[in-house]
Amino acid sequence: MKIAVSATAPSLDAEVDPRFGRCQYFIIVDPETMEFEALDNSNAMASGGAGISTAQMIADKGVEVVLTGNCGPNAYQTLSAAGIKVVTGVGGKIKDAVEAYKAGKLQANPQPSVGSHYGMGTGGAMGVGMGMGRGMGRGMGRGMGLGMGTGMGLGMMPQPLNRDQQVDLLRSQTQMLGQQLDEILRRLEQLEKGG
Amino acid sequence: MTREQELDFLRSEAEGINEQLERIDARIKELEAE
Repeated sequence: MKIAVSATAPSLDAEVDPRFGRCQYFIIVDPETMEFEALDNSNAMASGGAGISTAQMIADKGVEVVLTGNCGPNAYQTLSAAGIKVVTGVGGKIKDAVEAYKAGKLQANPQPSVGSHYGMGTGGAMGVGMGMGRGMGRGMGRGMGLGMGTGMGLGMMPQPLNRDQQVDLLRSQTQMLGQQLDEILRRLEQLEKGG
Repeated sequence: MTREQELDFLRSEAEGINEQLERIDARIKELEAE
């Protein structure tokens, strides 16, 4: 079994990063042996789609459980579609969080813990919900990528999704992105009318 | 954030989502053709 934990640094002694899609690192741990692999999250600075891309990256690693502070609806749905349990509200050191999960002290969430676009911008002032108006910064590039089935396992055995699972996942992402686009277009129309 | 900045941001987000939708669509077609 593999557990992915969002992390502020590439070590078991690092703190859990409260953001999922935009965390700096992931620590992928085997809870039995506490062997781990540290992954750089290349989506941390993406201007959009970070949650989905990060969730795909984690799914490609054959992870069964994610421990994090918060997880938005896009990432949550992508992880759930890949059969990955999501535990939010996790804090403290990575190794303590993994121990707590092993001891049955942490339970998977039945729904996302925050709205879309949580964690955009820098520092602690993170906008929550679809109100995309604060501290977002521009010109950050768009490192989204689809990354299906391209995991680089380092000593662990990734279990990539099969073709049908990938198609289902992509279709559900199309639906989510379509909803986001509708909301953005509505807000644009409102603003253009002077609202 | 001013109204103009929000408009710029939303336009760039919409563009990004459209690009992502195109990539997803292409990937679905690729997978279905396999």
